[in-house]
Amino acid sequence: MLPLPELQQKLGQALRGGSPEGLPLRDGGISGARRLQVYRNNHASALREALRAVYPVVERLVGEEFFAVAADAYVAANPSRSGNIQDYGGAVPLFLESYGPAASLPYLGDVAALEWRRLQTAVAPAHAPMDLEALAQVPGDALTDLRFHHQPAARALDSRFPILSIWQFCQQSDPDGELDLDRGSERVLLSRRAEEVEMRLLSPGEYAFLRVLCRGETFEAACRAALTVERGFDVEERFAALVRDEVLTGFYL
Amino acid sequence: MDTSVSRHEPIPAQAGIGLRAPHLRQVLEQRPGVPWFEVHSENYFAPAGAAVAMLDAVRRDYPLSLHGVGLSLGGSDSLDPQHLQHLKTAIARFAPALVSEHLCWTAAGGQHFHDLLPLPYTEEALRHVSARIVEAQERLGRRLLIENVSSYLEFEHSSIPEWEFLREVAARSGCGILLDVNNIYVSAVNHGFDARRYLEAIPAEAVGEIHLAGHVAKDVEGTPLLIDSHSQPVTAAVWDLYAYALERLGPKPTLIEWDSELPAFAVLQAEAAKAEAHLGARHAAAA
Repeated sequence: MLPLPELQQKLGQALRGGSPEGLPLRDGGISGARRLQVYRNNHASALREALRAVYPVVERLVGEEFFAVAADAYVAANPSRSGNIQDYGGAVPLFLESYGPAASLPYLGDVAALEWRRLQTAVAPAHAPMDLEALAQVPGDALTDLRFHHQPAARALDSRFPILSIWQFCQQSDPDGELDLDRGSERVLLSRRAEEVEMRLLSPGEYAFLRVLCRGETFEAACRAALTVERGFDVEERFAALVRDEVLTGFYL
Repeated sequence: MDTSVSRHEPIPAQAGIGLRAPHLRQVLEQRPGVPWFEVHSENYFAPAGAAVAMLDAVRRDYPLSLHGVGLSLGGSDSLDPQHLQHLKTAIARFAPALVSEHLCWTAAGGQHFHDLLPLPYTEEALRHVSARIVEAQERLGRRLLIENVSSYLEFEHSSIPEWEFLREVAARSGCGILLDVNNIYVSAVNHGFDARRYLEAIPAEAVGEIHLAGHVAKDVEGTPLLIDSHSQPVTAAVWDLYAYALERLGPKPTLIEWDSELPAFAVLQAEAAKAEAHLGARHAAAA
């Protein structure tokens, strides 16, 4: 008799394509192998459906059939590591980067990254906005040395492709017109206000500014990075917008 | 005046509905007269966001049951401390009147299969899963209801009938039983046992809840195999079995589950009304 841990290990492998040989399955009118197939299908379809729920825009871009094949390939290579199926699928952006059949759609991985990030932003812990009175009391000569906290949900993504435009285009139930994929790179800020995820484009300067601040570097370093990539970067206005939108939520020296 | 549901009010012996994400908004807007709701615990593990905020609002007006699918109580990997912590946090947040899980395993070797996999019904498995339920109950600080699952295969070395196994798990671990009447029916057909005999073996006082759902029949090489799809109305045969269950067990909180090809909420309400009619007959008989 196969001890329980070995039995489960072996059956688990069989669900993911391993041989069912040696599994003590009763026949009872229907062969053990055929019975096992029900569980194989359940496993595959549960994970495929989970991916469909997370990546509707990717599915829209490639079509249902292509998506199903790609999802099965992903599932075969990436077992689920959590009992919560909502955790599944985080490596899809990376997977798509090197997924041969999708090579003609080089933006797919970045669109997937935007979709995954949206979901993470939607459920990240809440935050309190910046204490503006405390900020106003920081002496002028100390401002450049300030470092900032950002809301846990906020993330900036940078892509060679117009990922936000693609995402928005795919939200239309009946997309009309054409999307110009050659419109170049887009940088997207995802944040949450109340329960809604907000997405907006960042200029190259804003992106650099925010990235440096989010790494925990000083205000001065962030300004320098922004001005390097965007000559006319308006520090005061952009910083105020990031505070107002509750992207930057605290500061420390 | 505080009209919110008492945090400790039990689930009534009435027909509740399994609440799924696409219906959350409608329920909050229309506040339908449903005696209680059940949700899948894992869908509300996130610390924030629209889903948990909506469930908070549902909870203010309705008794709630949390039903888990991912704890792998019958598994051989150690219980996932993170999963337990998430569940504990959800229990503290939503103050559910019932917390349930399944008599099955869902993971092995660190891989999760997201399906309710059957145990071999052996003394070894009985000892193992009973101890795991005790451990989970201790770590959660809550008594669990444990649900019998549908199954499509049996193990050659299973030596204990499933009904005895379930009864014994409850006796050894102190857990309650969530009796899924549809699952009993599905497994009875798939493995050729008598569903009524199963029900007769279950001690009424251990049963805290009943589940009802729809299944589909497949023809496999000329032999019928029932699949617990949760995509259909409850079948006539399962309603009959449910009536028999109520006769044996007395009225119990009963839940209509529907998970795939989810219909309009009104369809679920109509299913719940059917269950309510059965429960009403039992309440009347008991009076």
